[in-house]
Amino acid sequence: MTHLSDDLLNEYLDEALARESRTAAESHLAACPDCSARLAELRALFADLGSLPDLPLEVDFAPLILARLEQNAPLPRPVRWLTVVQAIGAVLAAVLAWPLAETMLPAWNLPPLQNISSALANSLLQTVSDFRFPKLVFDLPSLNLDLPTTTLTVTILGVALLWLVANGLLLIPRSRRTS
Amino acid sequence: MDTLPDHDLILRARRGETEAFGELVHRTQTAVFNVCYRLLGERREAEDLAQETFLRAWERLHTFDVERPFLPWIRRVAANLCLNHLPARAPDFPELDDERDRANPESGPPQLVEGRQQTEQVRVALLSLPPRYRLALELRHFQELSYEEIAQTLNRPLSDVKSDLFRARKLLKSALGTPKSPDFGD
Repeated sequence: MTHLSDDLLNEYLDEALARESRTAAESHLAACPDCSARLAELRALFADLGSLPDLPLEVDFAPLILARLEQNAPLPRPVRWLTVVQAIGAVLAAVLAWPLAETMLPAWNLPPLQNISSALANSLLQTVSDFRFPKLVFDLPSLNLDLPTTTLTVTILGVALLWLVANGLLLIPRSRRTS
Repeated sequence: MDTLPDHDLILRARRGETEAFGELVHRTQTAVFNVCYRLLGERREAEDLAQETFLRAWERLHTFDVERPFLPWIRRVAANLCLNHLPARAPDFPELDDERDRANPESGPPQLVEGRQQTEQVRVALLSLPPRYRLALELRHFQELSYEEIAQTLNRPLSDVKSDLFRARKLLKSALGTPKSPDFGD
């Protein structure tokens, strides 16, 4: 008599056998004391695992979890103020940078705004067919600066400092800002 | 809040009501902790991972199908978290001494003592197994997943899952000192 393999007994108890295989296994088990004994041992192991009680919990997680979720809730007031400061810093940086940009970039030969608007007003198709991008004159930035070197240096440093402060604050993880 | 069904609590939690989520934590925390404890074998570590499980669940609550029961889902999240945590932890160790001290199996009526000793034996034997076998037993016996579901959860071939599970049972039986029966192979 060929005995049932361990895998087959495992699958039998896991109810993973197809109907035909299950029926064949049951027929064999009914006639084979050895395989029945092995099945009983395996069944006892299942019962041991099934009867393992849960360990009691000594702490209530709910308040701890809620506290940690609150950390990611809406930002507290000081942090909101910080955001305003950052915004002001960014605007100030842009204002300081404007003379620099004006010096380094040549003037753009843009057509008057009213010409463009009247052209657009004619008709959509006409505009699409006739529209030409205005010729842009763009030279590479020259280093013939009118500003005195010291003023330029101070401006660059100021802009760089404001940029670093504003973005440095923004880059701090929210969890650290709120803790 | 404590009378509401899980389904309603989940919908509320999804709308950002942390109190509703707190109630879900309250209802499932023992089960989640026990998943972590069975896989890690250390109370403090299991408590940490259980908390991480709930934080992860909060982040992924929108992916949960509210028509399905919450407990199996959160238990599977816990198992996955422990699975990812296991390779990073210190060498495996079944440390149950402090648990034995807490629930002294030697005290109480004889039947109770016997029951506790048996439970303790199973727990120690379970924790003596390599993590992959512990995980196979956890998913099959405690979370009642089918072979296919385990394979899907672990992203492993079905044959590997079966092999691990059957090997885990054999090792567990041996660790429990069950009388050896003839081995007829696979």
